[in-house]
Amino acid sequence: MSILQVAATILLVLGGFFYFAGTVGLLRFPDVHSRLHALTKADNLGLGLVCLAMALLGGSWRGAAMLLVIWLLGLLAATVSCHLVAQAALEPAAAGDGGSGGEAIAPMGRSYGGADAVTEASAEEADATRRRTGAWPDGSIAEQPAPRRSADTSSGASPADPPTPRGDP
Amino acid sequence: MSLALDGLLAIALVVLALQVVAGASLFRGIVMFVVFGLVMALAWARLRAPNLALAEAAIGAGISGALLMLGYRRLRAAGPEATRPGPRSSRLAAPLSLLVAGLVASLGWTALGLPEALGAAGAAVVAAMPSQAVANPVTAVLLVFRGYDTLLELAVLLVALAGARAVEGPAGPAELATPTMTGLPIVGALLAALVPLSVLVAGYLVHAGGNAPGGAFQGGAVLAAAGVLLVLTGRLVPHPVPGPVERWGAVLGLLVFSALGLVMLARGQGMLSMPGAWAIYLVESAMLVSIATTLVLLLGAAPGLRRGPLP
Amino acid sequence: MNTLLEGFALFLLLNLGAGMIRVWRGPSPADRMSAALLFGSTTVAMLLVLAEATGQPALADVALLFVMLAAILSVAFVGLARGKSTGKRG
Repeated sequence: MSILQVAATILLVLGGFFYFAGTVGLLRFPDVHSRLHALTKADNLGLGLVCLAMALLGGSWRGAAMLLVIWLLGLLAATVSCHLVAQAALEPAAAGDGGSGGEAIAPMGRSYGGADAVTEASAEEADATRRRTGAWPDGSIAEQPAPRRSADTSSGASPADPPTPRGDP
Repeated sequence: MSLALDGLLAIALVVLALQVVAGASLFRGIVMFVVFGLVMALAWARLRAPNLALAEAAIGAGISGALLMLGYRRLRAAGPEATRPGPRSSRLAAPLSLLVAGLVASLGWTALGLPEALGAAGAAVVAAMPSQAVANPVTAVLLVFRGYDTLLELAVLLVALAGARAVEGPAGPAELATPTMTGLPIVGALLAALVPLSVLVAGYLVHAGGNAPGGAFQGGAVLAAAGVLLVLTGRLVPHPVPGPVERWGAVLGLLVFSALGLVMLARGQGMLSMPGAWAIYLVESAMLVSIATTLVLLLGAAPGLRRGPLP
Repeated sequence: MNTLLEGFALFLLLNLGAGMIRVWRGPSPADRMSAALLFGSTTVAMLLVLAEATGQPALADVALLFVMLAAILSVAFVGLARGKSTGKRG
């Protein structure tokens, strides 16, 4: 095996390790947000390593440029998807789909009990508490999620604000 | 190793298909269906059919997923009972499915055992390829050897659009509000990156379709996906009156293809014969516009689309 | 080298299978959607590896398409949570 193939093999093994780590995170972490975090970070890096390995094996600049574009687009797609799904998971909605009984998207910090998951009322209560004090129900101060401004005043500053715990404006 | 890979793909396809229709939860079925499209594209890739893999990626995994998700949102808006899956299947389901599976298996077994037919169409196409203007046999089959089928497929798309309009009625379906979250700047950045790139990739697929895997259907699906993104994020809003872009876009493919065919007929060279690679690219570009417009209008569920308010 | 690449593709496919557990079990729709994200990223890697292993550079185009359409499902999903909506239609 040439030196390029050896390097590609090492990169592939590393990439596989990161993919494995992402999947383990998806399966084992306790909460939807930590799962999302583990998954997207590890998978992005895994994809980057795989693209690098394939670029080494491919041997053409055009192919390498295409792989770079694929990786960058993968970063963009994963970032936006993760952000949107995480934001959607924050909404205190009873997004249970019919027939499976009691599935609810609960704010972070609450545990899922499966069939005896949080009811909508207590979820809204906890969310109101969180908005009022900027603190999670267990007292720890956490990053204020993007305040729900109405559409015509959202100036695009909310997701980019540094995480300062402050009361709801 | 490849046997293990292919075997695992086959098992995954069957398991996913079962999960889609098993129906414990409608949302789970939708996600399983999207995953099924992804694995199907992998299967096409393994079967050395990149054209089909391209089409499956664009339509099966992308647009169908968005369509089903939109349908689920409308169901949710109708009330919480609307998303409850239907009643349990009847007792006939298991024996019937076993019977059908046995029938398919026996047909497959027989087909595999048949000797290779002489003068099969595929061999004839491959033999005729060197004299064609394009090198991609799929494009040659679609536009040169079976151009009539492609023409009628365009007509079917138009009929489907008209049928969807007829079923919805003049008022269109109930309004589906655009969620605030799509006003986030990160979504704007996504659109700014993806929409122009989709136009570029669609053009590239049509251009590459002559000599490499690609083609008008795949390019049209990519362009339609960009349009679907714009509709989903509220940059394009439904409008009860179609504008000239929608009207012309929906019929352009059919018009150009038929016009070319009639011109060739008038010149005595036989209807739908392609006088060169330029004719193929012309027809494919028109098809691209038509397919994209039709798909976006079907998903937007409105006769026309207008630019929406800036978030 | 080809065997190694196909072995890696097999490993990624097993990862997919493990991700299916999350689709099946995930208590919330967001969990199922995150598994869908896993599937998208893993499929892109599989296609790239298969492109090299089977010598079909067109599969890199398929991977490009996948990655471009990866975000569309999440954008469609976003309207599911019952947040405040603009309610504006043109």
